[in-house]
Amino acid sequence: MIGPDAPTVLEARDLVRSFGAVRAVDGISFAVREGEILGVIGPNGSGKSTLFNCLLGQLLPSAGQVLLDGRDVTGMRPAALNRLGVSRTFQLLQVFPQLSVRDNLILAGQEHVGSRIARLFGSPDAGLGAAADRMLGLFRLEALAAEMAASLSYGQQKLLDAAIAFMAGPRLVLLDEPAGGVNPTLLAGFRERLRAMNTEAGATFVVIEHNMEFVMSLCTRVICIAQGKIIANGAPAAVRADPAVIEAYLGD
Amino acid sequence: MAALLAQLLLTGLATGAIYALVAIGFSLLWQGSQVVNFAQGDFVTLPAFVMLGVMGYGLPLWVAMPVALLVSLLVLGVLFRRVLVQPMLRHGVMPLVIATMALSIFMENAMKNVASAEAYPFPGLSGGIDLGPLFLDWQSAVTLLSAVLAVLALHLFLSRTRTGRAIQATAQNPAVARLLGINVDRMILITFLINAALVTLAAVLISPAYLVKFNNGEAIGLTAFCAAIIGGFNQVRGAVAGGLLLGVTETFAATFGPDQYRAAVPMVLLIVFVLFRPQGLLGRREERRV
Repeated sequence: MIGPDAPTVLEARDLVRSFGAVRAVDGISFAVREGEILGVIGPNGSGKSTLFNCLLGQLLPSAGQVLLDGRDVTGMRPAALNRLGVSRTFQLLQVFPQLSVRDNLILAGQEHVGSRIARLFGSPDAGLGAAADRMLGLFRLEALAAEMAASLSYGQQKLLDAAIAFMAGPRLVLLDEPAGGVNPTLLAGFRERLRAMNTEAGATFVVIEHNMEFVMSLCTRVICIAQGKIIANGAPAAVRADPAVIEAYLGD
Repeated sequence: MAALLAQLLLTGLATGAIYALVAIGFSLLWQGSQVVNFAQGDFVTLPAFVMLGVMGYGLPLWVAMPVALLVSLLVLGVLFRRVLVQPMLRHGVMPLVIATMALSIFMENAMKNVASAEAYPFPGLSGGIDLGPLFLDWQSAVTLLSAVLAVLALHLFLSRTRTGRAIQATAQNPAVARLLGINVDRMILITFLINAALVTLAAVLISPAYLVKFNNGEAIGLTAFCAAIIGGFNQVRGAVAGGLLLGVTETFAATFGPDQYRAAVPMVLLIVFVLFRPQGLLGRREERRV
């Protein structure tokens, strides 16, 4: 269990993001403690992805603050946040199609290691070969290491996408619908990988997901968003049983 | 007959290797930043004139070459990107295409104003070696060798180094590359610098045979453009294949067919490829959603 004294890693304070007259994110506040796996659920168009984009500096919030370790990082560039140990996956795949699976992984870590000189003259795998191989093993992608990413199945590309997010050794990973389109067999393994990254590497997760079974079995806490507002926040079972959540999202 | 064919093949490959260098630059610019550079041929002529200018002061070619390289990196690399590409690309690919056409006209007329319409001789290597029925002239041998080395070095750089990998990532998905902390802007600049170096090398290799004239770029640029498309516009090794194929076909056509149709060879091949194999020899299909 995550104790109440675990330090807060990420905090959103009264975040607002409007597009014209629409308030896609309408005053959202929550905190993520170290070691948590926070699930974010809610109907399509409820503001989940916009919230992610605001948290990661890809969209500037109209109002409110984002704090990382208590430090204001509102509107900080994604690359700068990445260097502070925050990475993300995308709802739509974002791998490099014409690079090998292994090169995709090395690429994700290479800007984080070595001095300028080392970057110019250092070894081609940037000293990340071992880390890439470990990640290939974790995500069961060893056999595909030399394949072009474009030749992978959709589910395998999802795994690669997640592995890329973990390459930089992040403390906080935001996953946008990681289970979407992944077949059930792969998915069970994927959940185990994420749990291992959580317990062994101590990484904190925020996960947007529609697959309720996946959310219930993975997350330590869940928030439900509807029309840009948080309507429930608590233990997975409690949120699933919440009448407001059932009405707005789950149906009967 | 076999000896003649082998001889022609050799000459064709040497010419094709130069086309390949120019075509690689062409396709790198396209992959790196969606630039279709119709001034690419004139990019070859400019360093040739710079070298002639330096040699005009009585300096040897090996001094003129690094000077020309420096000028190319600065003018055809940095300035070209800053002054023309960056401001125009915001308005889309087509306006930039028109702009590079205008740049071509501007460069040709500027070079004509400075150097007149005369065709200037350029120092090359004479002599060669008799290999039985085959005569290998030093110029072709050095041309082939340097082109092969340049392509090999570029290939190793792009596939085996951190910077090369970052350049590929930038070409394939700039948004995510930026997210991963890659300096996308610098990677694009590097592709422009590589192109400037390639055209300078091409200038050294092609000028002894073609002489140096203000409008030489028209034919070279067009041929390189066709080579890049025939090979597959989105692949470096495609540009190599396309360049070699064009060089060889052109040489054979000029020997066995009427010489005045030599210049039509690239265009004919281009039409054939666009009709029957639009993705080129080694290219992959690109999808565009409208």
